[in-house]
Formats: sequence, structure tokens, C-alpha cells
Amino acid sequence: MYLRFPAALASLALLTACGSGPAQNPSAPGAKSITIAISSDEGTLTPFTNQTGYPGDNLVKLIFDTLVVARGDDVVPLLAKEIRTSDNKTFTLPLRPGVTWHDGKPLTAADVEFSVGFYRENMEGDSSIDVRPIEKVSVSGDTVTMTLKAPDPEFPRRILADMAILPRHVWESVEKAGTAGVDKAVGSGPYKLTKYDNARGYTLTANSAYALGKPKVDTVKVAVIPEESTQFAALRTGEVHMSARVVPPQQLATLERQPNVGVLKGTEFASTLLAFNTTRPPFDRPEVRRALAKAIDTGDLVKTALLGQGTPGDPGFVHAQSPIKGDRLAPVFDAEAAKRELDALGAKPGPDGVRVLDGAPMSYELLVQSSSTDRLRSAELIRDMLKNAGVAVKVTALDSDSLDAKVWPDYDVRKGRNYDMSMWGWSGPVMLSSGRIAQLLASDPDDGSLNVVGFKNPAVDDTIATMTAAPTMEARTAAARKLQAQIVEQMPFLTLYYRNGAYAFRKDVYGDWTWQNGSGALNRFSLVDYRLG
Amino acid sequence: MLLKAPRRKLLGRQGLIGCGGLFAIVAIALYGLALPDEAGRERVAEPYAAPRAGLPLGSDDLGRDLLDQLVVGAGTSLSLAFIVAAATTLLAAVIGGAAGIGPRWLSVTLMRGADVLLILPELILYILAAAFLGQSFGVRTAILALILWPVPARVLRAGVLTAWSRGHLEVSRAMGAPAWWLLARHGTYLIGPLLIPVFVRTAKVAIVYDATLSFLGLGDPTSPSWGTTLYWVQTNGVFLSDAWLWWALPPGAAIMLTVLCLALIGVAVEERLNPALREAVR
Amino acid sequence: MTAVPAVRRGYPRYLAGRLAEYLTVLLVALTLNFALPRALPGGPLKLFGSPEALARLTADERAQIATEYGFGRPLHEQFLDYLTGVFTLDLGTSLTDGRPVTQALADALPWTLLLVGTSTVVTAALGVTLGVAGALRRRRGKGSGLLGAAVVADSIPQFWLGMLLIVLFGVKLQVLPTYGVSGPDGTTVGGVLQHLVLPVTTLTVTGMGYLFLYTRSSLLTVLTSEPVQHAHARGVPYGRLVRRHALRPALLPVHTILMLEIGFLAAGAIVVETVFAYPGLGRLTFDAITARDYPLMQGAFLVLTVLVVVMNALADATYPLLDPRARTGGHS
Repeated sequence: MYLRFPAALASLALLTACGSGPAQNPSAPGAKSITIAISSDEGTLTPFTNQTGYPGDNLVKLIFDTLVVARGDDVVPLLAKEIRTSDNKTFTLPLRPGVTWHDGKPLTAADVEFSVGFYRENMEGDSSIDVRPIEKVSVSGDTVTMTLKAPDPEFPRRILADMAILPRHVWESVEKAGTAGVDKAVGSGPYKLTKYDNARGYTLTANSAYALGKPKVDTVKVAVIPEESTQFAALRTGEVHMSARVVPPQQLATLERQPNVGVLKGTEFASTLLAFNTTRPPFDRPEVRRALAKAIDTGDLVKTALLGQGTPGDPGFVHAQSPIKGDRLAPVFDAEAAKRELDALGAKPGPDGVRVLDGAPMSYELLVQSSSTDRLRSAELIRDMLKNAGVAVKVTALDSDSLDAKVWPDYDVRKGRNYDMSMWGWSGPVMLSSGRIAQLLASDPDDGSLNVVGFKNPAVDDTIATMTAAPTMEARTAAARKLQAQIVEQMPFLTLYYRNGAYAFRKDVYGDWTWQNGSGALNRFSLVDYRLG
Repeated sequence: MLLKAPRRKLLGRQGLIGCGGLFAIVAIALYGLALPDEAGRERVAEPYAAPRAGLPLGSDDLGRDLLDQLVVGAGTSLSLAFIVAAATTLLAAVIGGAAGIGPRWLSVTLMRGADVLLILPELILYILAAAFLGQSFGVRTAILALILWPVPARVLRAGVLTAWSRGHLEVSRAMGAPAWWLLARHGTYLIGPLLIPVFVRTAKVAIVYDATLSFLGLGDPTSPSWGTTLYWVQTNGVFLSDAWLWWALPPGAAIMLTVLCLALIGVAVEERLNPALREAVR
Repeated sequence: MTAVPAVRRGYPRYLAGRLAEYLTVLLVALTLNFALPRALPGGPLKLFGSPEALARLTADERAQIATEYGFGRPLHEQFLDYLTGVFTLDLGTSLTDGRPVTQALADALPWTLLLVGTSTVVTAALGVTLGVAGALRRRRGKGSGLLGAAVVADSIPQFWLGMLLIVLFGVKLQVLPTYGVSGPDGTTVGGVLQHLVLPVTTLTVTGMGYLFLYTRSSLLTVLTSEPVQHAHARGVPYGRLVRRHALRPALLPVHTILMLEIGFLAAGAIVVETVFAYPGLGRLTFDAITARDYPLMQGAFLVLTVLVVVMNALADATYPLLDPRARTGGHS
């Protein structure tokens, strides 16, 4: 390659002059090859080496299959033929016959047993699964039986649907799972990883021996394009055929007007919050947090910062469409009530218009991730809204790592926190199970590993204990609704909004994208014709 | 900087245009500083409003007055540019000069120190400074000056070395003239012209750097400046719509105009410092 | 340069002295390259799962991961490992994807060299030529026009110009590709060249103004210097005067700048590599920084260090060849 450079240089001017265009993809609908743009490298696409939950995990799940899969609002069997349980504690999973690994070897119940053991030993990795709730795995013939430590009605969705099954003959020799190479990206899924090269991204090829259905596209190329605007420019030129990025609200209208571009929209469960440091006065007082929350018009944030491409946050955190089926609570915004409540707390405006509470001016810092445009804009709007209520806010933009180091040092809530207020957010999966929601609020750091606000309240802890111990989904939903009400009352954080999902694709090349709550457009059902009978 | 006693005749037409332009921009910036805090931050219209009476440049994605933002941003951007440019030029001149005429050990220490700074990844310095010292105006200025001085310092050292070996300087030195006097008396017009591009360039880099850091997710896109406006122009995909005319063009033109004025003045000063140029070979 | 009478040192000795200096610089830089990444807020733990997944790890499990992948071991051990690694060219494995760091660098370096090399050549050719033209015609309209154009081009932010070019030539005119290094049909010379046009244009346009201004001002200074004036007085024709007497001394500082820029550009191409999704060293470095991938960061900084030091040394080593006076420490 190096030798060609001089000659290449010489013809550079010529080429520019000729203005020869980018290789236009000649494919018509029903294309054999599509290119998907992602924003950052995803490592070697094994369950232990992908870098992000979305879209990394979605790509891993094209290569590796799971025992069951979420489809619509249900969980349906995939590698397993069915899910049998009578008590939500013992799950019996007979495997489908005739499934093979990409290298031709058959997939057996021993592989499933091995996988659970391997996840138990290797906790690192983005798609790695917390299998600690599983007490015992036993195998008899083609049937796997898993026994849990405690009944869990959410087990299939929370763990089985997420757990990629690993081939024992490939993975048993792996010692450092976090550095597994491409040769370990051997799964049983609909696509094989045939090429990975950091200059040109990934090439996934249809697995012609796939027993569970028929891949709809022969070759899926994945290109890494870090810059958002470039991704959408490349989509418009037809160089890429689908962008894994949510279309930014500002560009949605323009893209939708493009003749060959389609946009698939749906509900996303990722949440954006305003976190109060409940360990730092005056945010340790629920009445202060409540009053501040009432000053913030979440509807306006959605309308302005998201241009309507989102849903105002439920004050009780739980998204109305989440599988937990929480209540739909009314927004708390009431600017006048906020002022009244602050007055009642004795926070009278000082000479500069800023209220003084307990001798200290109500002037706080609001941290925001400098790489997130909607959060930056929301932070600015919140500053204006709180100013209206007589509370001064200084917005500080930090790169997300520096911000994490202040709010959630080492991702370990035991290490404390150093902020007043911060823009924050949780990924979609947190909204999908009651266990995760409990982690946001439990005061014991072992249970409340996501409690970045340092919240502590005995009544809430009681509700959480009831919820996580409940053996049926109905009982969990009931407890979750009670928890929602307590969140509104205590306001440890204010749920600002959930962004809508909107994914753009070239409909002239491939238009079969289907929405799946929790994984957006880039999912198995978009690219595979399943015959799960 | 080098502009002592600017005599009109000597500045020439280009210099006058540059001075006039810069004066106007500085006046606008001063006016911007006098505006109330809410200017450019208050939502006065619907998002993405097109220009109309009372809203000459339309509004941004939050419905805030873009003209106000341009005027307020002028203050930040200009002070950043001038302070950074002055600090960098001074650092480069002092260090480059000292390395050029000082003893060998000093020269070696300074130049290799410059090398180390050149090698250090500037992004890391910036993240570290932002994380531990904050993103205040002072910190930003200091970091930029620290990052920018090594290259011009090397160039100036090379210039000083060349100048030092000029015949009449050698003669003066042989007659016992101290180095500092020589530098002050003769160095100015030999080294001065080299400083001008440094100043102009650094001023420009400081303005543009602001925007670039935001682009890389490392800056503060909530503080008003021309660079910040350019960042929001880019995230809003303004280039693909008609709004580029009133949203993207004005801050871009403002930056270019400022740098152009600086360059024009620079060229004029260069000619004034170097009177021989006026009769120079054509 | 010193007050004592200069001792005439030969070129080889000059080089040997410089070499020792550069080794010192290299050592200081190596130490900083090790220390700075570790001073950044946050750490590589986040490479081992989403924050939500990491949160559930106990202190022991965290320590185990940190030890297993090396970033949890005592700092002096890590530093020794790193130094040994530098000299045996074993830079460890990237924490991001398990590739050997040398492999990751070897993949990215050719693309950076192609991008930076091409842009430097084009930038230098255009910048210096126009600078000379600008200096010679400074009184005429064309000269002022050139000056204006150079300054305007110089004040455009790279990411901005990059996006503008993408929108214009990619989206509107559809004549040039917008991202990456090659088309869908694999690496072909034509494809690589097409993908090079926009990034190189961006780097060239934004980098040219600087060289233009330096060349112009340097040449103007030389044109008024005594030797050139004498030659002029002797009646040497103008073209010959410029070519024979003025150009070489005028290009000395330009030469210094250019050498520095090459080393510098490799690091400075981060923005362009991001905009055009170009898989070069700048992007690799930026990704390593944001991922807190210590081994990869160290490796990337090492390459940048070596590039800058080598270009620096080259600038110093070739300077006396261009200007014999510098060889004797400033005395002719």
C-alpha cells in the first residue's frame, strides 16, 4: 500500500478535477448489502468486549443468540423451545434441536450450563450478565433447568433475554474475557462476524445455516462515524443506509423531507433527570427539593430542548409504557406553588432577588455533560426557570468523565458525591425491571448501587423490600406504584423527560426496520425473518 | 503591542482600514459588555425565528436573540483573543529571545522545555485544567497561552540567531555593546515583523479553539462567545437550511473580520517598523 | 551566540550534542506521558461494562479486574513495565479491544501519514508560493487580495469548514464521499484518493494562512536587509536578486515552522479525523483519552512524541545545512 502513495499523489489533482462521484450503491429495494453507521468502535463484538449497551449490545445479539427474546410486550422463546415455571423460582428450558454454532458444531445444553458458569466467573463486559440470582443449573438431555435463590417473575426478561449463550469449545480456554479477540466472536446467531478492521468497521455475513429463521440481508456492514452531522450527511448521500443514532430533533424535519429517507419512531425508556445531592444541605430537605421541582416546567423542556421529540418525565420516574406498568402521574410543575412553598420555608428574596434560606443565599451549581446538546439546552432552561422562582443557578459544563467523577466517583455510590445539582440520565434497561428501579433509591449501597443522589428514607426502603420480594408480577406492580407515589413525595430527583426514538434509514435500499421497545430499530427482528412456531 | 505612536501617514490605507474596523468591533464588544445579563439569554421569540423587525438576526433553537448573542459574544471572544495573543507573543518573544542570545545552557533548557510542551497532548492538559481548575475565563486563557507559545518561540529564536549575525550588530558587539541594549536598539525592527504573524495567528487560534473544544465535547457551550454560536450552528445542522444566512454567517464573518483587521494593522506596523520597505526594491 | 570566542565545532559533534539533548527531552516526555493519563478524572474501569453493570461490583471484584488488566497494580511497577515496553517495543494490550497497542498504532499510522503527508505537501507548496507572491506584490491589488484571502481562510474553524465541504460536495453536489477511507468495494487507489480530497482540502485551507503570513513577512525582511540592498545597488536584476539572494535566508524560519507543523499536524488532525471518520492517529488518541485506555494512550503519545522529536531534530540538523552560520554557534 505504501508504495502506491507517490503515484496516488500524482493523480490526486486529476481525480479532483474529474469530480468522479462516490461509488453509488446500485442496490434496489431488497438489497443484498446494507451499511449501518455507529458512533464509536465496539471492540471485537463478543459479550465481554463491546463498548456500549446501545448499539454495541444490539450488534452482539446479531451474532450471539439468547434463550428467550423480548418481542413486542412479551418474552418469547428463542434458543429454548419454551419457558416452563410454576413458581417463578424453577425455570425449565428445553432447547430447540438442530441449532449449530457458526463453526458448524452443535449447540447443546452443556453450552448453556457453561455460559452461566462463565458469566459467574467474569463480571466484566458490557453485555455480561449478573447471574448471581441463579442458584443452580442442571442439565438433562436437551433440557436446562435453572433454580433461583428467590422467586423472580421478571427473570426471563431481565436475565434470560439478555444472556448471550457462549460456545463452550471456543470460550473454555479464555482467561481474560475483557480482551477476547475476534476469533471468540463465534455465536449461534443469524449473522457471523466475518471482518473487523478499525479503518473500515465490521462486516457481518448472513448465517445460511441459521435454524431459527432466515436472515433478510446478505451482508451487514457497520461503519464507525463519530460525528453526528457526518453520519446524517452520509445517510443523505446514500453512503450509509441506516444510522444507529437517534435523529436529533433539529434535523428530524429536514430528514423526513428527503425523498429516499424513512424515519422509524418509537418509545425509548432512557430517562433524563435532574439529580439533587440529597446529602448536601439544603437538598437534604424533601420540601426544598419539592419546591424546586415545582418550578421546572418539564413540558417546556420537551417542547423547546427536544422540539417535541420526547415525553415529559413522570414525576414518579416510571415510564407509562414500561413493563412494570406503573401509574401515570400528573406533572408537578406549578410556578406559583414553588414560590409559595419557598416563602413558607422562610426563604425570602435578598437584595439581588436571590432568596436566602437559613442564612445562605439559594445559589447553586448545576453540572451538565458538555457533549449532550439536549441536556445543555435543558440546563440553560432550568437555570431560567429557577431564576424565576428566586433561585440562582450557575451552569457548569464538563466532559462526561469529569462529571461522573464528581457525581458517581468510580461508579461506586459508597465513595460519596460532590455536587449540588446535576443533569443525569439512566439507560433504557433501568426502566425495564423493578429490581433496577429499586437500585436507584435503596439506602444500603449493596442494594442501591445506582443511588447517585445518596437518598435515604426508611419508608422507601420498606416499599423496595416488599417489591423485590414479591413473587408475582402483579404484586411487584402494586409495590412499584406505591414507590412512584413516594418518589413524588420525596423528590430525590426530578424526572425531566424521556427522549423519543427516531432512527433514519434509506428506504430505497432496505426498509424492513421494525421497532422493538427497549432496543429501538437495530434489533434481530429488523434483519431476520423468524420461524419460531 | 508594537503600536507606539501610530502616525497616520505611516499607517497607510490598509492600516487605517484595519484600525477603523478593529475600533468598530471593539466598540461593539464594549457595548456588549454594558448590556444587561439577560441579553442573548432571555427567550424573546419562538425557536428558529427568521429575522424580522426587532429581531434583526432571528432567534436560536431556544428562541433567544441572535444579534444580542453576537454582541455579547464579541466581548468574550475579543478579550480571550487579545489576552491570549498578548501573553503568547510576550512569552514567545522573551523565551525565544533569551534562547537566541543567552548562554548555551539557557538556550538548551528553554528550547528543550518548549519541545516537551509541544509533545504534551494539549487535549489532556485541557481536560485536566477544566476538571481541576474549572472552566473560568482565566483558566482558559492561561491554558491557551501555555499551549501556544512553543512554536513561535522556536521561530523567534531562529530569527534572533539570524539577526544577531548581521554585520552591524557584530561590530557593535565587538565594541562592547551589551546584549540587552543591542536587542532593544536593533532587535526591534529585525524581530518585530516576526512577532506580527504570531500575534494575529494566536488571536485567531484563541477564538477558534473555543468553538473546537465545544465540538469535541470538552468546552463550555453555555458561555456566550462567537465560538459557542458556531458550535450551536453546527449541532443544529444550520448549514442544511436557510438559517445559515443569519445564524452561521454573522459570527463567522465577525471572526474573519477581526482577524483581517488585525492582519491589516500588522502589515502596516511591519512596514512602519521597517522603513526601508517603503523604498524597497519593487 | 556566547560571549566567549566560538570554538569551531564540526557537524558530527554538533549532531552528537543535539542527540543527548533530545534523549533528555524524550525521557521527560515519556514520564509525563505515563503520569498525565493517570491524573485524568475517572479511570479505565468504565471499559469493563456499562455504569449500571459496574455499579453492582463489590470492592474485591473491582480490585480483581484492575489487577488482572494491569491498571490496578502499584504505579512504580506499571512505570517500569512501561519503560521496558518502550525499549522492547512491547506496549501492552489496549484495554478497549484487547489488541496489542503496537498493532492498533500500526493500523492507524499509515492513514495519518497519508493524510498529514499529503496536506503538508500541498499546504507548504501553496502557502510558500503564495507567500512569496504576496511579498513581491505587496503594493498591488493582487497582493492585498492574497493577504485577505489567506487571513479569511485561516480564520475558519476546521470542523466548520469540514462540515461545509461535506454539505457542499457530498450532499448537494454528490461528487465526493463524506466519510471513511475507502468505498464499499474495498481499498482501491481511486477510492482512497477520493476519500482524501475533502479532509486534505480542510487541512490545507485552514493551515495555509499561517505559512503565507510567515513567508511573506520573512521575505519582506530579507528584501530590505543590507546584503540584498547592496546587491540591488550593484544592479543585480530583480528576478535574480530574489532567487539568488533573498529566498534562501527568507525561507529559514519557514523551514523551522514547517518541520514543527508536520509533527504537530499528526496530533492536530483530531478534528478533521473526527469530522470525516478518518481512522488515523488523532482519532485513536482522542478515543483512547475518552476511554481512559492507559496503554493505548501511552502508545499514541509515544508515537506523537517520537514524531515531534524527530521532526524537531530534523529541523535542527538541517538548519545548519541551510544556514552555515548556525553551525558555528552564530558566528560567521
